[in-house]
Amino acid sequence: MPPKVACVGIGITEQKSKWELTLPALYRRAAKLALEDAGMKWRDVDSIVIGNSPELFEGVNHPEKWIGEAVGGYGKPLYRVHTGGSVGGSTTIAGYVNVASGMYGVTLALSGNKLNDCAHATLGLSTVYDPILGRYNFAAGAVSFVALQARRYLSKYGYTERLGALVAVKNRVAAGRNPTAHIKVPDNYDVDMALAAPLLSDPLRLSDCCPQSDAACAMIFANESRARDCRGPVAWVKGACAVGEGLYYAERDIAVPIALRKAARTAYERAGITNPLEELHYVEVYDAFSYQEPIWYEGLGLCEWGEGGHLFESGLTQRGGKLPANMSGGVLSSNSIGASAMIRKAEAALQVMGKAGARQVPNVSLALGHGWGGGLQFHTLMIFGRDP
Amino acid sequence: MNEPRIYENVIRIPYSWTTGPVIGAFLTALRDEKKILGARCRECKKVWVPPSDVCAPCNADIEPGDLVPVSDEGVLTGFTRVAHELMWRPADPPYALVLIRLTGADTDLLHLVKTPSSLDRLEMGARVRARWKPERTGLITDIDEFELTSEGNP
Repeated sequence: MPPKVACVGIGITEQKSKWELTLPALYRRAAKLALEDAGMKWRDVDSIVIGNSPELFEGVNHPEKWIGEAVGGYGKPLYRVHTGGSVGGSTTIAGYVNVASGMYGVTLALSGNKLNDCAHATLGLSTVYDPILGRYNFAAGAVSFVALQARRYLSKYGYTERLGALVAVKNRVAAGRNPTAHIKVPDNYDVDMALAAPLLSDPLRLSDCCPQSDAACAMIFANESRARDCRGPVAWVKGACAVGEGLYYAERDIAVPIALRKAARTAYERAGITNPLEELHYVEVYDAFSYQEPIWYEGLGLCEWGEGGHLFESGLTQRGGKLPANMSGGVLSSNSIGASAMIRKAEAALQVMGKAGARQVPNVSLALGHGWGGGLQFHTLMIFGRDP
Repeated sequence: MNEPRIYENVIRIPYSWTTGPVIGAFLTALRDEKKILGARCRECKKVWVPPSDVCAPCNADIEPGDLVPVSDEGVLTGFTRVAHELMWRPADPPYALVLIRLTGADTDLLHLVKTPSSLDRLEMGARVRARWKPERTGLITDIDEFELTSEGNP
């Protein structure tokens, strides 16, 4: 077993359509919030890990060059990690590993993006397809590629577009309780209103799709002795794992996330979890698009393949249910890409710390945060517990 | 039949980057006042030109109120005469990329020397002065180039 590590501080900036700050200044804001949360000073940080999306998303090349000095990186060990949309998850895991390795007592991990510095995030997203076969020229972005996944999921298991609308209603209404969330809807928002939203790429409607946001998130990880010095509640890392799968390979089914299933198995094993549906108290999945929430339930092993929609419809993952999911409003309500997979971990940790404010779920002592990126192929997970 | 092919394309995406308040004020002063502003760190008192949002060694915040005017004259702390023609270039070669320590600044400003008579006389410590564009739009290139001054140079 690796040494015990805790998340001792969290900073999430407001997630909104435009921050009139430079990219480094936005990261600095998240770092300060996390330091304040942990009761720490800049000098307490031993190393720094920076995450940021593919450069073309916001047009800043080699962003750690510009961001590093704004997050206390002058003269400190610092590197950047990068796995597309899951970068926030990879950064979180890298921050954890920096401490779990015994190399550093305290590591500051940060990830974010200013997606609205780009004319439209889909332009940058379309360039991530390989250059030779012209996939860039199809301008699929994320929306249309995920639409292919959603259509496949609906057809394969016989669900209807009502499923996406149900997810949209749960998460968009939940965002009303989250002070940092970007898109909020009135409490009377319902399935009919979601289904009346304009179609973007069949079956995805605007209500099924995340906004493009500016945001940064910071998490501070500390070893056991440094964590015990912290006054406030901390969230102990019980298990973490990142698994990737291929982009195009024989028999690939984009509605069956095998990499997530494998990452979940490993993370559960590390956390000593044998029945996640019974043992976890809270999950935050990377629901950039509504239909993904039930698909990721399946990948997480909360149910059998194809049962995610039924699990959702059972109400078990609603507020007040046995395993509430995405009470932050999820990625569906706020998506800066860079910060989003870290915020999933941060929201899970906040629930464990009991610091989730109006979105707090009672008695959470074991919570999971997820992220996905690339061509639906990279998955990151971290599980937090109240006890070391 | 089996030869590899070359595929060509161009990635073209519009961006609009926020300057933030500090760099915004610096750019506005270039345009409206032909004035170069530096950011004085409240801790080490060193002056950054161009300004930054943070003084890295002190890890101290810099705000618009910390901006102070510096001279548009200074000395060369580095130079290279660029001879090769890049697709992106600030001028037709020969021109020089230079580092300048403006009077009143504690950091080096990256800029250009283009005038042939100046290019011939580049040396470390040479005194230079900004030559401003008559039409300015709020960019670092509102300073067209730096020229060697007649006084203070051999």
